[in-house]
Amino acid sequence: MMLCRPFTTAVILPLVAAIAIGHGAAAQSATATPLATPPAQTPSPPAAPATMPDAPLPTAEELFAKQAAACGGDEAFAKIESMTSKATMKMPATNLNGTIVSHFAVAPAHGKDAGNVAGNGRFVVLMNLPGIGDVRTGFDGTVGWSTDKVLGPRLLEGKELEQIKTDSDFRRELSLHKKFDSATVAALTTWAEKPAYEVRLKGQSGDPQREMTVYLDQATSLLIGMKMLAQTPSGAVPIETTVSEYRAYEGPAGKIMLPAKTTLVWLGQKQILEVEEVDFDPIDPTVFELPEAIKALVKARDSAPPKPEAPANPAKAPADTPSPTKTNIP
Amino acid sequence: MAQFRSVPRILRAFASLTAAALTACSTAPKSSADARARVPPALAYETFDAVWTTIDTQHFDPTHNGVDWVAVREEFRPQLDSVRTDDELRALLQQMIGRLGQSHFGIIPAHLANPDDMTGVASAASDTDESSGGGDLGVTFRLVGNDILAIAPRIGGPADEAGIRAGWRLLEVNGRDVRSELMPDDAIDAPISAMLRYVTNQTAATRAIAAPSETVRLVLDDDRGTRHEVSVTAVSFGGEIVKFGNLPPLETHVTERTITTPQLAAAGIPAAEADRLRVGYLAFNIWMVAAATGIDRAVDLHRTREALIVDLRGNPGGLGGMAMGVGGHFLDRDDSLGRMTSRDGAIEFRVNPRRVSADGRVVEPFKGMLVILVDPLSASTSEIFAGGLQELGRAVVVGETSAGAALPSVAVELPNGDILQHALADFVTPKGNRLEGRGVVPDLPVTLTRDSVSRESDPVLQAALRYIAHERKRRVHSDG
Repeated sequence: MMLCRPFTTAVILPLVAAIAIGHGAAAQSATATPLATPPAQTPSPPAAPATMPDAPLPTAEELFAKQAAACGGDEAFAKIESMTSKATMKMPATNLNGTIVSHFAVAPAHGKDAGNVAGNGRFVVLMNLPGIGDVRTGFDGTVGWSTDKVLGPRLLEGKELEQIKTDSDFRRELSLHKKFDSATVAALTTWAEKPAYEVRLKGQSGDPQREMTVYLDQATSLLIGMKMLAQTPSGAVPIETTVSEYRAYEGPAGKIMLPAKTTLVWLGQKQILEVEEVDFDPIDPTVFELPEAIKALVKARDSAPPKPEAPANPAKAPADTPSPTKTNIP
Repeated sequence: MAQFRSVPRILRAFASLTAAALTACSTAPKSSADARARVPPALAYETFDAVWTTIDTQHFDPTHNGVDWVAVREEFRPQLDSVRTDDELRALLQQMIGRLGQSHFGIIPAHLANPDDMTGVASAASDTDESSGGGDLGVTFRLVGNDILAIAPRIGGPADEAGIRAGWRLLEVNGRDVRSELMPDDAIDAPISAMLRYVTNQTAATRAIAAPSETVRLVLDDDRGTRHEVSVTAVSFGGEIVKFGNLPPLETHVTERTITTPQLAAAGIPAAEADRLRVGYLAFNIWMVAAATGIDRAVDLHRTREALIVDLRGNPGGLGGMAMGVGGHFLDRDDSLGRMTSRDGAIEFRVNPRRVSADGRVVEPFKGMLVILVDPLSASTSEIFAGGLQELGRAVVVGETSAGAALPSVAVELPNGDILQHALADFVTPKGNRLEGRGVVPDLPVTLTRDSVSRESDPVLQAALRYIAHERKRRVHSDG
């Protein structure tokens, strides 16, 4: 959906908020496990890796260099300053279908050659889901935000903000090994029934949430799978991604390959994203302006006194407050 | 509490409490000629296997709540040979699912989930003379002891205009004797008592329903035993009908008002105190996004009140995430209302402290007293919200113990077009307490009796108002 990236975590934020449905009231999709219906279907065996398992594995540098070339090359991506994509989102098991429009641009302050740096871009993702309405998520180079009717307007903080900064570098997946402290090619295995190299990426802090495992198609060198923890309003959620289709687009400096069909699975939920249109035209800067509610939150945050180390709980009753059950109600 | 004699039938027909709740909230017709359509054997097997396998692989508890799920399959699958119609298939599936003894497992008939007519109500085809409901009679009927009583007829509403008074006992609906369906508690198996308690209450609450503009003939008696035959014509709630995924179209409506001085006085609060007390009231029938704007507006309107009552009685739940958004109106910190855990991971119900008003002004979350009203029909998201804020010390819960049906679930389509709602996660409160099967136990429990309802019209609300007045007085004295 966004250059070589299969998705941004923005597309699951509102869905996590909506997953826990009430008593006969609302639903999200569950992964529809193939059902044991007669006659049982025998799954086709995964394709065998093209090389012997004990053959020497390529290095991560070699694999990511091939991936970049397969996507169209670093040069082709370096010339891209903006991109708009339109996609559909389906959760087939539960009949929940929506649309996603994403706008990405390199932030003016960073210039067009400033790729591969977290926080150097800005983006807005607008989802529309029947029954939920509009869900907008964005990053303007400084402020990460989200607004929808389920949770209300929010400023993203902590790990969510870190993640959205990372998401704003929309060329990130082209040189993933440079973004982590270590990149280890663990095995030649299979992903989505294709022979693929499993590459484990680890961050500096040893924080498991800064780890990611990616799968690069042995035949095409394209990224076809990812496992990671996505930061959501409700904490970190394990997510698996499979790219089952790429499509070629004519970019400003030549042909590039972008994910066209991506399936996300998280907490047993399956979400399919299919890109319908992509263009690289300049984007009206007002698209990236903060919504009024977010501006108000920024103002409130900036004018708030520093938080004490152990914030008091003004709403909580004092310890000596009798419980209502013990109170003699007139 | 009494149970309905027809509970086994109700369980089949309503496909457990899940569908019972949906039936109550949905605007879709309650029955269809499709129900008696023949189901091809291969499709019946396919649908059965889909239900069994989904629960087998996705139930949050690999032990299936201690039920031998394989044995259950072996017991029920052979019975498919005698299944001929969609209704029979649903009954069999529901019976199988019922072995789990948990909420949020149920079959929603296709015609309920996806009616041809989204507005559903009066125009949708039905092959029975049962009303599809969806209209507002201006009164709540609740099971109290062995009786179905009229609670708090709205002044000027259809029931009030027809002369119905609080505490009157419902005897007949359109010539049908509703009392003959009662039977003693001890006929109900203990392991599924929470489910049956909910279904029984739900069934009692929906004996008298009507579509907007539809007239229902009721027979009631008052506390002196005098029979009253009345006709009540329902009006529209004026809510928004929403469709979310595989779920039936659901009407969402929000009620907001300021409690008046006479209402406070009616609760027994001395006039001098009532004059100084400012209490807001907010109720909504389901946790769907369509209610969010009304909720936000109500909180804005009552932000400076000393207390706000959030009435979740009869609210069966909805989008779980909304508890986080609405919870943020009342918490100034990003606490968690609880945690749901599935086989694949866990997420917290972290609130989003709401520091901006609906019209974009910087505000603080509501800081006054928060009182939440619950009853046996408050379920799921309502319980997550009430139980979470109660344990965080932010809300006082008043009323009757809630449903004890708090398992996050999803609704997936089955091969025959019906919908399987199934729980995919367990839920615990901030202190690690399960609400499933237990419910939210009020801080201030109120036991309804015919006498109290006749006397006070709405004893739970009255108790809440007295608590607020009492607590205000205590705080004033405490502050010197």
